[in-house]
Amino acid sequence: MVAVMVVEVLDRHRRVQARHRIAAAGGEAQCTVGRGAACDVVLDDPFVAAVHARIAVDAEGNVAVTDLGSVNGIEVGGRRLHGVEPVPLADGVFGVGRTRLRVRTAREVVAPEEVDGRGLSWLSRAAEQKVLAAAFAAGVAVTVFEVWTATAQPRALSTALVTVLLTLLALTGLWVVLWALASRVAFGESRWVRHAAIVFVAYTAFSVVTMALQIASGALGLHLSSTVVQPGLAAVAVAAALSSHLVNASPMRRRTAVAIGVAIPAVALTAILWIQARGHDRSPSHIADHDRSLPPALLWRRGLPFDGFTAELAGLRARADAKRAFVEREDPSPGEDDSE
Amino acid sequence: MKIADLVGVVALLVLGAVGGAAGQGRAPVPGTSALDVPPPAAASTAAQAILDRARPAMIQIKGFFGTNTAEAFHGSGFAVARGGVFITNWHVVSDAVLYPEKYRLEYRTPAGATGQVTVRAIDIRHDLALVEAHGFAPAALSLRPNVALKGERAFSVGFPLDVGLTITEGVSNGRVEDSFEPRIHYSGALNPGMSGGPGLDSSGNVIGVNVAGYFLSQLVAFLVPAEHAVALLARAQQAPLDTRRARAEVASQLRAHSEALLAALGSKLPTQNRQGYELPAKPAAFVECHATGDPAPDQPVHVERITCDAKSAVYLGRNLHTGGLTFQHEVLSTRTLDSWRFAHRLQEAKTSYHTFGPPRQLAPFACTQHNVELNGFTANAIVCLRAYRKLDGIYDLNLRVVSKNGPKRGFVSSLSLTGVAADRAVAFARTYLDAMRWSP
Repeated sequence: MVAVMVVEVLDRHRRVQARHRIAAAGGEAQCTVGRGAACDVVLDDPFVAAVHARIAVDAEGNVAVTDLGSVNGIEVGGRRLHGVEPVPLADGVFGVGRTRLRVRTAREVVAPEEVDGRGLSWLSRAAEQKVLAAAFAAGVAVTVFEVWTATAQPRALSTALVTVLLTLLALTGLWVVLWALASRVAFGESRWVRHAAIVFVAYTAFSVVTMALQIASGALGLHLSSTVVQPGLAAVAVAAALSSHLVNASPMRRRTAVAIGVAIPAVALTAILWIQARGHDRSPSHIADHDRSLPPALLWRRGLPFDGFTAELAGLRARADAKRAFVEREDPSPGEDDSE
Repeated sequence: MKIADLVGVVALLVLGAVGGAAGQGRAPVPGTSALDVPPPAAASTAAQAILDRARPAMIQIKGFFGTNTAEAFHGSGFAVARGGVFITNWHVVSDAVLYPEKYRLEYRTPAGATGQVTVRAIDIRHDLALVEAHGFAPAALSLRPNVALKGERAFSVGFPLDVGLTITEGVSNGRVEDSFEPRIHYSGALNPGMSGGPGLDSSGNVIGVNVAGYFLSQLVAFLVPAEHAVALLARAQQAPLDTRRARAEVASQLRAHSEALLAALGSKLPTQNRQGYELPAKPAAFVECHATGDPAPDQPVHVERITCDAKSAVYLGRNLHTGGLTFQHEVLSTRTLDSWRFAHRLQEAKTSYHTFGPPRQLAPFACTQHNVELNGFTANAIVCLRAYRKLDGIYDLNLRVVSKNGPKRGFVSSLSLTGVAADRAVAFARTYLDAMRWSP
């Protein structure tokens, strides 16, 4: 049988600075602690004697420490002790000079292995590259379509495409580099494929969903509020991307990372919508036009009959009066008369 | 442009321009010697006589903010009845009527006497006000209700730019044709501060009241015909203005003005076909319409803009003109663009419209937006109404329509109607929409 103990030298934050493994044949092991080279555990602490203390582990795994006549003694459980009687240690921790030591034995019960929650175990490296390629291609395609829609002159198209795509690449590139650096600091690997995949998936999903909603809204005549829907979708995309980036680039727990990733865009979105709504509620020049022009072939639903529409106008006066009452109550004397 | 209270940068610029022109006029003319100096022209002796006649009836009306002794604005006025009753412009006294707790009015005679001024009656539509000068009751000038003919000699008297009593000489060009508001076109100088002064014929009878001028044009100025001063005088005797209910009076006059405007336009609007769309066209002679387009031939989208303005807006006070009607169409068509990109152009054309309004005067818009079936085509219409904060029962209407039927043709149309009763505004919006038709 071999008795084993490990003496750990701790710093003031109780982090391990050095570890000494002492093994002895038979049921018991012991070692000495001090500044002297003859000791088993050598310390640099000037408040420690040449041979300061002895640590002993018996066959049952009980640890005891003995002061070997030092000036400063040993510190156990917050008390400073002198003398040669062995002092039993309950938690294995004691102090010599200004250094703390922890003694661990083979009998110590070790917590079970933690599940490795970092990274995406289901996503292989090859699959990651495929996702990146697909998201990148789709993102570029959506961007090209939007630029094409917005450009009437054929000769302006190439310039606009090059400008927009280069800007997009430069910005996402910078973004990916920053996150890859963070990953390298946290985990020692850049994970740049994963970060690039995250940003392109988020961008592409946002663009596609926005476009689909606009088309659906125009086709069905829904008039979804573009001032709410667009920032809302953007916030969802940013939250998803930020959470994924944080999970992959910081040692914090997954739950914390997701909470931070969701909280930042949520707060920003709420603030933007609140400020916007506040301005619109008081501005006499704001008209919320939620219509979007689409090719007529996409118009699925017929419009209201003319009489139905004009009948609805009868309610306008009461609503205008309500807005007047609101500003008279909430904003009785606006600072500026010449707005815009 | 109003000429009452523009003393400052604008007025100084005007003075500068006048000085320059006078300098050029003094340049020696070839062929004339000192011996050939002509005697004073007959017209100038007439001006002397007219000024002598008008002078006793003239006052300068000054507005003061709070208890300040330095003036905030000033205009002119002249006696039209016994007992110190004077005519001036509404825009000279509007601040004092709308904000009686902030402004006070005083008069100053050419001789230097001063005293308090009270407003007795207002006519917003014709920009007139009847005021009483306490302690000054000169003989009244006589009013000539029939309009001076084109080419008749005319004079205008007032206190321009605080340089003292001044007479300018010009020609009446008669009633302005195609104008909703009756105006006499006076080809003579009118400068800030002369507002409310009399326009006179060569016998010294009042033909109109100085009201406005175009400062970037040459001697194009306007007088309110004297018949409206006569009418206001009659109204003041029957129902004098209750200054505590001045805003209610302003609102009621504004409603009457807009009612008259919409009545003049009728219940059915004429239309003109642009790219297959019948769109509201010039609805009355007094409505000014312009149509322009982009002459560059190689544009992928051909755009025509039609803008109409009834020029019926009246000055209400403090940065606010109201009682106006404007509408415009932007008609787009393309041969080369596909429907996606054309729809995008239409969207851009729509978002380029902006509305303005001072937040102290106006509440926010309430809107209704739908795709709606108009005559033969689907369009998107948004109708918005906003209330005036300080005037009961007065609203602005804003309407925007964009066609949804053509993959290569389309239009964006907008209508703005200001200072009008809500039901009347909505009824006109209906008339406007009902006039649109798809007939390729």
